[in-house]
Amino acid sequence: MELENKLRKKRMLEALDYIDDDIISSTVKKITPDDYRVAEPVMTWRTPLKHWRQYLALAACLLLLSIAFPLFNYVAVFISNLTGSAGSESTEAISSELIDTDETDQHFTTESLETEQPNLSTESVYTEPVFQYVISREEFDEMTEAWKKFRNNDKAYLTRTYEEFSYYYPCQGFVCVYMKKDDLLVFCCHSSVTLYGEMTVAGCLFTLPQMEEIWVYKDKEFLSLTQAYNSGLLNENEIKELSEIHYEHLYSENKYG
Amino acid sequence: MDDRRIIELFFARDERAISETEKKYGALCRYIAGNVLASREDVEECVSDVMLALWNAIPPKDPEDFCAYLSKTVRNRAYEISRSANAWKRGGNVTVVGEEFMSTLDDGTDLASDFEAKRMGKVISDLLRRVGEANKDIFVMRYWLGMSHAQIVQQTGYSEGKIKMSLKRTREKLAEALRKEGFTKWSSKTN
Repeated sequence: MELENKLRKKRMLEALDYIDDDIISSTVKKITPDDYRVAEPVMTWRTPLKHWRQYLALAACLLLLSIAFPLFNYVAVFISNLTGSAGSESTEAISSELIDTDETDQHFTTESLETEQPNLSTESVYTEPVFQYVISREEFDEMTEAWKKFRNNDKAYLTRTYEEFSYYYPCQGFVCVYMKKDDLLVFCCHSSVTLYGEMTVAGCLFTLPQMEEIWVYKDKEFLSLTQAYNSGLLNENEIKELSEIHYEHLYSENKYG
Repeated sequence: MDDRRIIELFFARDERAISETEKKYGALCRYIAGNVLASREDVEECVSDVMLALWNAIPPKDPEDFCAYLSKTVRNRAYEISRSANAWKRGGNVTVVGEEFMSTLDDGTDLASDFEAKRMGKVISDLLRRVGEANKDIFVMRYWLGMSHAQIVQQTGYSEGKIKMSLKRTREKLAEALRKEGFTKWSSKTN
């Protein structure tokens, strides 16, 4: 009976389809379709369930991502520290070792850094910086305060939180040190600034409105390269060498990220 | 643009034929499809399908009445989509209208073997030419376009009571005409 009714409907529709064109046309042309409506949807169990499943799948994906992404980040840093320390050295230990080194007036070129710091693996991070200087939270806080002072609290030079600093690609807790001389630290705080001036800072200590800057940090104070040169902290040769390292760092086919 | 000019564009394989058709009849196509389909996505899919179908069919097809040809194509495609996606449940109004029209027929009629759609279409056409312009419009709007009473009121300006009465009388006349034409087991039973 049900099949017969279906067939009736089908045939009925077919019959209506054979109504002469002029009859259809004359009526259809009288219609002013300001807006069309859609037929009242008949709610069935399938429709909400379908949406329900979609929402559930979406929620599951988001949950997985929220778990996996930070986990991946922490694992990457952990492996980096683990392999880099070659044993029991912690991040802070590496940091203090680098700061308290007795080697004075040592210039860290690309080659010398790679040979002298073999324990600082770069495999777990995305770049191969000249020198991976691990910054502890305390150091980060000190440097942040110094940076604010250096920039006169200019809002254009907002600082990052330590978590942000540790999170962003590519440095993930490192800064690229070009030179270390006593307690003088010269490093690149490169930021990926697009051609349009949009900041997409990648792993920098601070957000910088311009790229290609080299910063000098000494006695918890920041100096520009010019200030360091004028105050005698860096000589002309060192400035020249820094420029070369910096250039290579930034432009040599992303050799250093 | 004139319908004949649009058809010429189709024959010239000029893609403006589609845009001109959309421009002139897009809203109508959506209106017709919207009476059958339950979602705007389906309506848009239907209209897109129809435009492609027109492009493929013309030429060689050269419809004398482009508006009617387009309307029928839209209607048929809308029903195809409706059927393919759990048809009768989704297009609620279609079910109501279909059942109402089906009431014209006797339950005992053996449609599977005796129904001749084309011949019945001719009977319906002949009847509609006799019932007057207003009754014809109301019938086509209700049963061909699947419009609700409210929509017909809006389009014609007639009261809902007049529309229902018109439909009832036309159905009665149709049942009588079909019986006279020899459709077996036909009755004049109407609701």
